[in-house]
Amino acid sequence: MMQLKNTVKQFEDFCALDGVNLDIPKGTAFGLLGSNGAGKSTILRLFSGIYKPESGEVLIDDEPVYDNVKAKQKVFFINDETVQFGGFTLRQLKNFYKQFYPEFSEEIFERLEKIIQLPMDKKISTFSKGMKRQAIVIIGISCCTPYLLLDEAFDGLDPTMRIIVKRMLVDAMCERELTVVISSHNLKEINEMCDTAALLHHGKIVFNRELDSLKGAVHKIQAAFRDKERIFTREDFPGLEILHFEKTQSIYHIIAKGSEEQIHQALAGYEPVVADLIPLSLEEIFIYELEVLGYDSKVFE
Amino acid sequence: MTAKFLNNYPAKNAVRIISQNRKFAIVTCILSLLGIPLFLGSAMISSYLETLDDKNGTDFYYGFQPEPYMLIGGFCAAIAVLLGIFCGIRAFEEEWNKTRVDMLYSLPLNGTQRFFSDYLGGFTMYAVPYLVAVLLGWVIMLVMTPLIISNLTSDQASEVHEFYLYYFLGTLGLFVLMWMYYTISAVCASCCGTLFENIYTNLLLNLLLPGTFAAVLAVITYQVDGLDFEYSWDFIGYTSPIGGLIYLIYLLAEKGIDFDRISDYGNSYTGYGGSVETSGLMPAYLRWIFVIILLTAALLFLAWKLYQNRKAEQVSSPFVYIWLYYVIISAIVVCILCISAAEDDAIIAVILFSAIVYFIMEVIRKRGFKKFWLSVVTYIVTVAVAIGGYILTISTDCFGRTKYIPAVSTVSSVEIYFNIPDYSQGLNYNLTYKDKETIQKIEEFHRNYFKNHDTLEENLQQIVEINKYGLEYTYDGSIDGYTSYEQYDEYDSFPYYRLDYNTFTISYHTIAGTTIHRSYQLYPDEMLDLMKICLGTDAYAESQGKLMRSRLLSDARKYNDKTHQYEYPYQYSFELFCFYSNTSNNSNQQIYISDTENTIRTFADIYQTDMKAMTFDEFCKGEIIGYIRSMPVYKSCTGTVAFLKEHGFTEYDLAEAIPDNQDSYYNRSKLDIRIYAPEQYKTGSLNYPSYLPNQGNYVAFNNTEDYVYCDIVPLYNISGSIQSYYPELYEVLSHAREHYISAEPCYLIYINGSRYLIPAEYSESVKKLIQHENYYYNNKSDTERYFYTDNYYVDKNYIGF
Repeated sequence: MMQLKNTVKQFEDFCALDGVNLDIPKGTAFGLLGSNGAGKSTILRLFSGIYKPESGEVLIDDEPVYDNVKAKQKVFFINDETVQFGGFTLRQLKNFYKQFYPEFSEEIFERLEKIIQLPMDKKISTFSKGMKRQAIVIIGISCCTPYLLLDEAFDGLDPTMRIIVKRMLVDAMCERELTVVISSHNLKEINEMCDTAALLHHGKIVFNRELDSLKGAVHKIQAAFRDKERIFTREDFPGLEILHFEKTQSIYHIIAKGSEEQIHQALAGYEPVVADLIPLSLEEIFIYELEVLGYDSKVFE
Repeated sequence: MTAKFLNNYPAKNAVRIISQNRKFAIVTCILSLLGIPLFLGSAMISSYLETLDDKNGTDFYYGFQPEPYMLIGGFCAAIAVLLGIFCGIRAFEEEWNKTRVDMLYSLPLNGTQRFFSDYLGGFTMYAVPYLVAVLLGWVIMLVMTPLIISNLTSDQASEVHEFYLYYFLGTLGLFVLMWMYYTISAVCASCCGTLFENIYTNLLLNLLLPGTFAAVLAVITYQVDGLDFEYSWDFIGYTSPIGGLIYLIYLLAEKGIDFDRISDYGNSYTGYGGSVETSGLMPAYLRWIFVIILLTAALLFLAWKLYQNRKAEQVSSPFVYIWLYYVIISAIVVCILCISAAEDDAIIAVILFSAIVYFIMEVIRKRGFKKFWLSVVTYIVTVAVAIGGYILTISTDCFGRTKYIPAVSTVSSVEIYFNIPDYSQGLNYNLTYKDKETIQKIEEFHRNYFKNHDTLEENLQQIVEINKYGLEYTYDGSIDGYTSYEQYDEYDSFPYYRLDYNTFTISYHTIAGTTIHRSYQLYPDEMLDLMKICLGTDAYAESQGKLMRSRLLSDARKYNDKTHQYEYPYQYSFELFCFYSNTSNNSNQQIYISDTENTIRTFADIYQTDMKAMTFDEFCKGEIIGYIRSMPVYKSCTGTVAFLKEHGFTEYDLAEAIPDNQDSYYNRSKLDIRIYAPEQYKTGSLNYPSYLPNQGNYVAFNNTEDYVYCDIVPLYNISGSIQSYYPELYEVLSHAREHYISAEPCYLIYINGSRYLIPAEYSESVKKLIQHENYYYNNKSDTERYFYTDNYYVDKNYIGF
């Protein structure tokens, strides 16, 4: 299990993580969502032992990660850049990481390399962006660490290759209970890959839950009420946590947290003529959750 | 064991560094392997060809010029050594290259492992080629030496082994300095977050540290009595690799190796025979290398701690530890301010210049002008601290350090050096005392110096009163007269004040292995007090005997050496050494001896016995009949004189050498006599005027209001017919001495350029001779009052003649 316990990470005056608590159980595909500068990459770097927290704890299997060789051996971090590998060939890169990760599997590497068919003896700097990304992903998977951290891992991959890489990850998860933590702005990918996700904003976790329950917990409601003269406001529905409230003619568009039952119960008292509940996509949840926190596109209006 | 070591992560990381920087490592290897082997190899081939030519009468030696190869070798070795900075920078790449941070910090290594493996990887890349080159140098030497030295004597062969020792000490010293140099780059890597700051901090630290220390020491040693910049090398040798390298060369050159021989390897053993003086080398070398190792270990510890405490996210900030930046910038300001200490008038310009440099560096560090007012404040604080520190140091005599005299019980030996400028040879005393009684006396003398020594200024103020008038007029070079001094001054010609002192250096070697050096200017009476302690002791006599023996043996062996034929062209079947009598014309005598080595040893023993028997008064006032290898032979050295006479020496009589007629060698046209009166205010024959004002202990002042010329000594020029003053001259020369040390003022006489002193009890004889003087401008009534000296005129009435 990976854990952040009341973790604070500060970069001079900027607080990247402000007392964050997070548990990522083993075998989970965990997505990190958040606005730019929310602290996603910081969490990944804390888990990989690159950053030292100012306070709080960063644990992997109950051991602090920073400066801990044993804990660091369990994690492989793929960041959002590939320029650092430019001087290596794929073979050299494999041999390099093989030295540091004793569980490195030549078999897996060969299998994945055959699928992707990357040149083994050409400098990685000559690869395209997508090829570089493929190269490091197969290295990361071959290292066979229990935890794999990916920062914008699918950036630069073509659609076919995205599917291949995703399948590789899924296979690894199935084969050896790999825990994958993915940080991405591409919510579709998180949606497809992850079973749990956390949304970060300004160094704090907005929510952290399973995606299925998350999707079922936020609904878009389109409702019209019998009393057309009355103008309803948010305050008329105290039982609901409303993220968005809008009225178009006689139709109310409400984004609210809660189960279908809770919503129906809240609406029932006002005799709705229409009460349609539409489940939200992850992207919509992302937008509406952050909107509540004042992070929305209205700044341009 | 090795396999186990190589199998751990830090070792793998070290290998990773070499592997990733292999192109750079190859360049280092090529340069190192070209360096020492090429240098030594070409020198040895040249020597081999030389011996081959000697043996077979061939002419290979002149067909091979080793110098270009040695130059290339030296250049390559120097570049390879200098690349240490870049080895450090490349090894600690994650400290300045943001793109590598994630990759390298996320590896399963902790901070300590990562630091030491980076350090080891870079150092391996840097030092291993050097060590291989050193080993190759050994191979070359060991292979070539038997070819070259087959015809050598045991003495000469022992010099080969001495050369081995120097090679070992030199290469080991350089290795330790390379380690220090590389470790400094590790400190810089830990302190800086960008490549630019990394490189310039490295360069500045390496250059600035010794530079700042040297500048500060130069200023302090100039200002504080007792400290001598020459002895600061000891300290500068510990300040940085560059300082260490300078000190290493100084150490080997000064205390041991003759560097002329390096470029002529063959001659290192076919050349100067006898043992090279290495007595001071090993203790000094060992102490130095031990301290350098300690300092480097401390630097390594510092680099490690700084590395551990820095954070991954600090990459790309120019200075992770801002104090390093302030150390550098303060050092620059101090260096610049030191210029103003040397040139008072430049203080404003220097402060302005230092401010400009300071602010430019601030703009570079801050990448702009943000919070610039803070830079102004820090600059003011820096300058204030520098000036305050300087004032405090000077006013407290370096916090009392300059007046520190170690307790007798803690001193193992005292080394004393002083020089008495004799007219021809000069007497250098370099003596070492180990007995507690003499050490006690020397320490008492040292303490008394602090109590009684007048300052230079106090002395000059007294001189002012006496010689004031002499400054008012000076001869302007025209036929008819004089101009005021002020006009003379317009030609930018300052008066020179000859100060009446001699340098005295004392070194206390403590039991703990440290050395305290002090250097003072002694006035004649103080010098006499010191000489009373130092001369006439058994230790002194023994040192003189030993010195005589080693100088003669060295020359005798050199004489035997074929390669020095050009220096000793007169070779006979017997051995030779030269005995120089007085320095007057035609007074050199050559004495030939056979069975050189034994005869020299016997002679040195006799000389030593004679020296033991001499009293202090004899050392000062005894007549010196000549010099052997610059060492005085007193008339009272009866055994020595008898030995010399046995070998054909005849005593020289100056008075007899001056004939009373014009037909002889010393005819009238050649006889040039000048007599300087005893100098006013000063004491003893240690004081004598020099022909040129910039010789001797002269100090120039441009403020004529404050001080006056003190070298205005009445001069009597006698150039008339020799017959008219011959009896008086004969009388004077009968008492003339080249060497005479006394507190009483006495006359000085120049005859055809040779200088002699006339002991004070014979001053009346001199005065009789002076009756025959010719005034330089005796046809002008006004000028009769003035005597001509080299540059100035003096009012003789005022002075009292």
